Amino acid sequence: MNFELSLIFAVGAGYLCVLFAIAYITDRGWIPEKVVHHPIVYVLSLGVFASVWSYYASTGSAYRDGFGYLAPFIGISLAFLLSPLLLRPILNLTKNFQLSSLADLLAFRYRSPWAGTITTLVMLMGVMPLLSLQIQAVANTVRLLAPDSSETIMAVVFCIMITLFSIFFGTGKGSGRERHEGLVVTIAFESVVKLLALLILGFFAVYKGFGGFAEMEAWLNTQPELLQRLKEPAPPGTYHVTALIFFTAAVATPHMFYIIFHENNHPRALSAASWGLPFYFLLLGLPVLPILWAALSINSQFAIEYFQITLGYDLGSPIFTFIGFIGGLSAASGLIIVITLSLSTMCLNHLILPIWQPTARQDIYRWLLWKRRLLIAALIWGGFLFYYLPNDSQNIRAVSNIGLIGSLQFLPAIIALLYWPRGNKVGFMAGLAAGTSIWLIFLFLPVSSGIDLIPGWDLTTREVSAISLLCNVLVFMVVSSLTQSSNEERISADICSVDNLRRQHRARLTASSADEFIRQLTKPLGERTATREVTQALRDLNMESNDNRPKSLRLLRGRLEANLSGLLGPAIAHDLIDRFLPYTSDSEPGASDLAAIETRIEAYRSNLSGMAADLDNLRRYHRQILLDLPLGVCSLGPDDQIIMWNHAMADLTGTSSDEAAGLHLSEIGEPWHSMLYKFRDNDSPHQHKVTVNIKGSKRFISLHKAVIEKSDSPRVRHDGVIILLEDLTETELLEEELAHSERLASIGRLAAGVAHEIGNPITGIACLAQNIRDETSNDELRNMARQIIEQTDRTSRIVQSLVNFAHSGSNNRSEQRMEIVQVTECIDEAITLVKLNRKGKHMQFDVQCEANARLKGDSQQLLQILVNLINNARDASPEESTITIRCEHIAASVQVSVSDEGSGIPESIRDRVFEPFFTTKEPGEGTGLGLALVYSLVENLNGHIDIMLASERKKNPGTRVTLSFPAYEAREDGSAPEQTQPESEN
Amino acid sequence: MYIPPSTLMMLTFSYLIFLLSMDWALAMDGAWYRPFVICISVIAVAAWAYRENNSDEL
Repeated sequence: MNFELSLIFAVGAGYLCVLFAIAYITDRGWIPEKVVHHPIVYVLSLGVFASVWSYYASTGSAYRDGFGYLAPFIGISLAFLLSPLLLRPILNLTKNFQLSSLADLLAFRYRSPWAGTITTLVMLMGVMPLLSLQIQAVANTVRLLAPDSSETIMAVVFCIMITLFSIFFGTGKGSGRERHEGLVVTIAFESVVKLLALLILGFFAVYKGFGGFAEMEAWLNTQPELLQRLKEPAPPGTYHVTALIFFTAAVATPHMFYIIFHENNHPRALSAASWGLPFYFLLLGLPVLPILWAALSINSQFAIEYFQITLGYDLGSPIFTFIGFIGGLSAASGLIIVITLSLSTMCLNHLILPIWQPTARQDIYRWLLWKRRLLIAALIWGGFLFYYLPNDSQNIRAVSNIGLIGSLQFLPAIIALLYWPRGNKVGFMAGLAAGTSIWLIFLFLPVSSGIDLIPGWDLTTREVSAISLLCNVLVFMVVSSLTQSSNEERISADICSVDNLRRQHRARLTASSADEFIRQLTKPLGERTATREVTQALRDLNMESNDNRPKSLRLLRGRLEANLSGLLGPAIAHDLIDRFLPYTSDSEPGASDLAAIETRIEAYRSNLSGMAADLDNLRRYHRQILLDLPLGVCSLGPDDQIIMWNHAMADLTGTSSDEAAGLHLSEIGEPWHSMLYKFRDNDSPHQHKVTVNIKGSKRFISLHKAVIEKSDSPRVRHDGVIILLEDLTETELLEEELAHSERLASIGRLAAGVAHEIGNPITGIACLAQNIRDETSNDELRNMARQIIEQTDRTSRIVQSLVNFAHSGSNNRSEQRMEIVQVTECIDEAITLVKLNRKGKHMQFDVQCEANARLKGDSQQLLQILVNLINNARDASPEESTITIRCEHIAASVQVSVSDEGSGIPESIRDRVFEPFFTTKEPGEGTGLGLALVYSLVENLNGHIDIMLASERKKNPGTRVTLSFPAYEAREDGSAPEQTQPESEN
Repeated sequence: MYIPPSTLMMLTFSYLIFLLSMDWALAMDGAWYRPFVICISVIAVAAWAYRENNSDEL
């Protein structure tokens, strides 16, 4: 092959320019968001894993191992097919705690900066060969196409282009937390390019190499050795280690971790990748065999690893050579870009920041951006040196395996972080050291530099992999079992463990508001960064900045730690938050945050089955009982923090359950704080009819409490107090009303007796006085007789009032007339009657009445009520003033109000105005039975009376008496009319 | 350890299909693409098992 170097350069540079363009237009938002965020883009971006090992090396593997070449595809596919067990839990952790690399995850789980540092170092050793391999593949293929060209120069040019791309499109704004949509779309595009290139080459091989599928089958049948190698089952275990290595690589290689977890925009995308990525690899693996066989059928003289490029040349179609070259270029460039991005973040968080941090005066984001850019450049050029310096070029497969076997050493720690909470940092580091040492001594050093520290041990790659992994697991388990985990590690293990629910603790923070958070964080981060981070955390939580509840502040602290973890790595973030936003020393260390536990159970609910689901249903049922109980339920922790606040409590206090949960008792407001606080400290478990004043109205509340004693079990820390509040206001008002009615009834009975006993003698006295007046001519005597008659008349009126009152209070409704009463007519008649009196003639009457206001009852009783009320209004009003009478039909009731312009009823006598014989009029002016009579008659008509005081009416002082009766409604269809409110019992 | 029913079903299917069809797939006189047919059937079952309902967010 001898192509023009300029042509190859133009093709390569042109392709890389296309990548620049795609990333640019994506970042500018020119590609629709629904396309950028589509799961298929995410799935394709995961195709970055198919680097040159799958593009070039797979033909060599297929030739040597037959179908064994599929082992890497099967390994990585298995990881995705089992994503609910491995990838999904890790995705949740990385999203919740902003962990962008495996080093972050392990440092977070094992609560040790060293865990992150060691992971980064091992990862660097494992990944550098892979990085150099990509550069080598590109340089080799260029040399293959243009033998006169310099491999080194081409490698340098390629590295420059890739460095620029990674820096421009991979570093974002410097925080390291944001997703890089331009990059993801570009990587997805590269995956499409390499897949299409291989599929085109596959069809080309079948049709150009053989003439069709049938011919290819026919040729294959003439190759018994090839068939034997292809289909003969391999000895047990031959490909298992390879599959395991690639299974681990799905999580343990920096580029895969970065794309799977950091660039994931929705868990749904991972579900699509669970089958989408295996399908992608299946398509990628399918053309490998036809390409291999086509090259073998024509006895190609080129290296098997590069058949994808040489086949087109061998078959006389150079265009297919370039298609193969572009595919290889995309495989190499995609991997380099993503690996350097992910490794730069790891190196920054775990190698640079632990020893060199920006000061509070510096712009942290800018500082981080430039450090990350420098690291990207350093990593790419480090990979170049790794490729350039060794004298003898290693073959592709060996170098590739070295890196991936290094990643295998993280498998025990990854499994343990999800499924073995007992594992600790000492065990992790010891296991990793043991496994990595074996990998270094027996594989990495001999292959990469020819150094054989233990000569004579001729171990295969498979054996080294198995032994190193076995040692790693054993050491990890033994050391973890023999050593203690710190408290922080245990908490972290709970958070990470799939089978355990997170146990957050109900501790209080020293900082008591978001502003104080900013003040505290200003010390290490500077004011600008601290303000920005706290504001961002508040926005993430959808939380108000004035929400100072302990529960909310704990959430804010957790969110801040997660966000800073994305910025500075989990170790630095944890240390920083612990130092500047500590918990108070008197916080209950073991008291569980029930709200957090419940939130987590709610989220986990769809995963519960069997007994766990039954228990959850039971828990929800009991919780619902407490929430819907018609009694107020308030549960307090030992630190007086409100844990539960049910619906009745919310109705009573006006503070919703969501607002109250997590507040300290002192923050709940008056009068509830004082009442609950006193009762909590009181020895008595019950307190009856406590009076509280809420917005001017009195409420009567009974309190009951139960104390939850501390449990001996260290896992159960739910001590505190449960307080029940029983609102007795309605009952109390009913009791008062009943007592009043009873009093009226007894007075009525007494009045009836008195009227009867007094009535007869008075009648006799009046008759005698009339006789004297009519029969005597003595003027003085006649005058005295007239006075006697006047006084007996007055006494008779009083007696008649007593009789009327007694009758009205008898509640004998069988004697009551039931007729349809036109309220307007009654009002007019009452005004006419009142006007008969001398004083009534000097009053103005303002009557506004709806014509359809009707009720069912005794019109005479309503007339009596109105006459009494209007008379009272007249007596209380100055002359020539206006008495206002309104009658409205409101909903199902008729409301009648009588207002005057007098001085009103003082507050002090408000409760007594309906008592019989209570009057404010001058002696002789009134009996004090008017309003008592009105009260009884209104009750007879199933109505309600209310008096508005002068003080409550600012616009028009005086008294307003409002009557409310059930309205009478005629049916529209003309059938028998009905009363809207059923009559009460007779 | 919680194993989602969809994953359990997919695992069981994969195990059974590999158990039953490996001899068929690697028969000397069989078509070369048979192993790919098995793989694609497993992927199809996975796609069905992991359709929309598997979106729990812990």
